[in-house]
Amino acid sequence: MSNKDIQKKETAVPHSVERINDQPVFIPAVDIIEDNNCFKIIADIPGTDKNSIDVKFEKNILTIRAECPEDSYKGELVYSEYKTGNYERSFSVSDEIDSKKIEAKYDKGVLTLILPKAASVKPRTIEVKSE
Amino acid sequence: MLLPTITLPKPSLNILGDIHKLRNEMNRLFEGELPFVYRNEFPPINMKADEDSITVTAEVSGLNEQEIKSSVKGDILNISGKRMMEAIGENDVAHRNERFTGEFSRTIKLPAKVNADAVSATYKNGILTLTLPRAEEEKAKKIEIKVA
Repeated sequence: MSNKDIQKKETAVPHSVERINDQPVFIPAVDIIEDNNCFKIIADIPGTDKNSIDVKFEKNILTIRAECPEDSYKGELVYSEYKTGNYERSFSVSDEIDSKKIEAKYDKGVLTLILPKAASVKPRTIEVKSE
Repeated sequence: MLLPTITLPKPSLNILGDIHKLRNEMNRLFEGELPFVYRNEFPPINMKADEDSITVTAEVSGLNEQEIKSSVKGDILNISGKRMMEAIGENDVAHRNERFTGEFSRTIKLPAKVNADAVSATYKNGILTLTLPRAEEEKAKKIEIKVA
């Protein structure tokens, strides 16, 4: 079995702050992978519909927010290992990223963000010319 | 003689926040808000029940329908599968690796026997939902009261 935290982590609410709605907010688990051309952020946000995901880039902060409604199945909750709530996580992004070209896609509860690197920081192979 | 030394944990800076959290937890405990169980196993499962059926939901995002296996026998339900890791090239760097990957298998006991032939399963937005109708012999029967 993996030693990772499977349980969704709830965001800490500063004690002086009250949330408007009562739903908890979770920090989605992410993988961040960097290759030569881009950074890829993969986030687990199960239960979210594509239309309720909000990805914003502002002042070098990339924020993902997603709403996840309570399920409407009938019956009484008799056993529970997870709670339902919204998701929120922010990433601070350096100038290395070409922010205009950030892409997002969503499939089966997984949000993937592609953050292409700016051309100036991409590794470049310099051709060696013979004289 | 050497005396054992006791090191006290350093007080956390966010002590008010911690107290607030503890109070919430205590409230939750005494009010019995949810039958919440902490289990660090993938995928996390919720279960709802009424007199006709049991609904099991699991947060198992990022799989294809064919990659999730589920079986039921009597009142024992099993959900298993494998979640593949994102392909990482030789020169790629993984800065965070928080998501669960690998094989998983969860076996849980249902609150009642179910009719295995009538189980239905759906998978949407990363949530697996199994609807398991209670077995006939488990359903509550109405007793008619006759006038003596």
